[in-house]
Amino acid sequence: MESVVVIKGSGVGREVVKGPALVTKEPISFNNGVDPTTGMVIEVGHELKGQSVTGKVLVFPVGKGSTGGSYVLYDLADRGLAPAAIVNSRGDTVIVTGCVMGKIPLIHKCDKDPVATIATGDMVEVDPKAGIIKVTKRG
Amino acid sequence: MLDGEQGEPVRQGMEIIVQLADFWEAPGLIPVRGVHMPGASVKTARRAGRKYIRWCADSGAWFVTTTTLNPGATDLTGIDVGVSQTTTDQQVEITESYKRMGAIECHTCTPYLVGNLPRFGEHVAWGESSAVVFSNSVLGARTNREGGPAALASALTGFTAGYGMHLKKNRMASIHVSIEYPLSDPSEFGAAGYCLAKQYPDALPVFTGLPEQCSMISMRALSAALASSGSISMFHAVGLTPEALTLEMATGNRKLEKLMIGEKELKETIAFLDRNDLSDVDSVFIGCPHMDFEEVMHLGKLLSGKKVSSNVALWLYAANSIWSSCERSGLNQVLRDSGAVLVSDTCPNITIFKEVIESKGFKSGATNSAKLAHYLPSWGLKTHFGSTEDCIEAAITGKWRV
Repeated sequence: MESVVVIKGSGVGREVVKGPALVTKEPISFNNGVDPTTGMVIEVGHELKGQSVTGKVLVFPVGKGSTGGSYVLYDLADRGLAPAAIVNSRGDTVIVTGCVMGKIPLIHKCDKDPVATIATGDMVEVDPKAGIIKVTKRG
Repeated sequence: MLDGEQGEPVRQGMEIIVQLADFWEAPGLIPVRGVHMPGASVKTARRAGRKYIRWCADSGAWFVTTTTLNPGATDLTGIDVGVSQTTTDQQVEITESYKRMGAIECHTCTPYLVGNLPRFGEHVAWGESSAVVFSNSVLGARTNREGGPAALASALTGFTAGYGMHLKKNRMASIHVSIEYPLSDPSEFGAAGYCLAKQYPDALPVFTGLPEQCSMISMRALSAALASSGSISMFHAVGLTPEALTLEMATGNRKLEKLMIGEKELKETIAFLDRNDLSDVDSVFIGCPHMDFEEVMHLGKLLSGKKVSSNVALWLYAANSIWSSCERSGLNQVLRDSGAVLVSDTCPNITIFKEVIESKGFKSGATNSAKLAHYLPSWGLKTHFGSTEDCIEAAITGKWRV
């Protein structure tokens, strides 16, 4: 049986998108942490290493690393390899800036911790203008 | 701007500024007339940044602020600093894109020495951590540590998000640092800053005990060091910096934790930064941050009539406009006669240093900059750290402190 959970937050972007969730409790550095030519997480020791962020609703607590990460998000989007959307527990300057440049819908500052609420494989609809995330839980 | 009537790059720039203001719960946006642009190098912008900057320029975007460029990956005047042709080509592309939008091609980490000088209390949007600390602390201008994309957004829109260091309430000291040793050489100021920032990486220190007559070189060395072992954006020095005429003014009359840095702590920090077990030296780097006239003149005195060892590369870094004035003054000839190489537009931190090491075969370096001594080992070069005199001696003899 399916169940739907709604999370409210603050959004960046306009487009409503839907995709499967990829969730990590670890922060992500796009600069040196994600390969912009493949969309794969490449950071040594990261729990998502070897997985592709492309087309996923990527859920993680916060960004880390240098401001060059914003440019990597732009580059991923430019190559059609970006996540469908990003959901952050806290968010940060690098991710916010990169999402604007790459036109990637982002929701952060959520009323429920998205990392604890969303599981990898859940189907997630993100409406950044309304600041609403609809999570369809499996099973 | 947000509805795109000034083009897509300006719309995105404004959206970035508004989103950042919203994210940091800033009371509002603040107009800026000056931007110092990080992300001006192949190394920091990388492929994605190079593409984005080019897209902005191709879209016909134009900077509405006075915008200076941080160092790039190579010397664009033609001095060989050992990077590949690919890196050079990519650097030219980045520099040209910025110039097409109206940037000043100065490629220096010391914009305040070459004509981008904010007044006391002025709001600016600067990147380059050493310049940010210098600006907030010594000049009393106000800036956050901007990354490449945010600084670009400010240059395109003329606004920055008014949070953090733009607000007076965030510019009060958080720790009192008592210097209990008579600092003299800039390397000692660097070491003192490094020592503090290693223990308190995001503090806002107020220093007491700095010499009354300390030079701008020392202030710059301190600024650079605070931002390399930590992420400090500002310091106060009682009687020396404009927002600390008194200790109480810097602390807002609050009682702060006190840290003492004396001879023991200083010597330990210098020993920690001198991470090179080789006594032979093949490369010496001076000019991080880029040098001012006083430093160039000091080097002129140390090197006049001397010869740099044929086994050593002595590379001196300054903004091209500083070198131009020194050229007309005859100083550059003195330095060149000694065998020193006068480098503009770049620095070891912001070039692709792996290419430099490979093409030049450097194995053992030396510097008087705590910031460089911090970073060079990560780029693959064992590095000695000491005074300017130690470094020049090493350049002449090829040995470290023989």
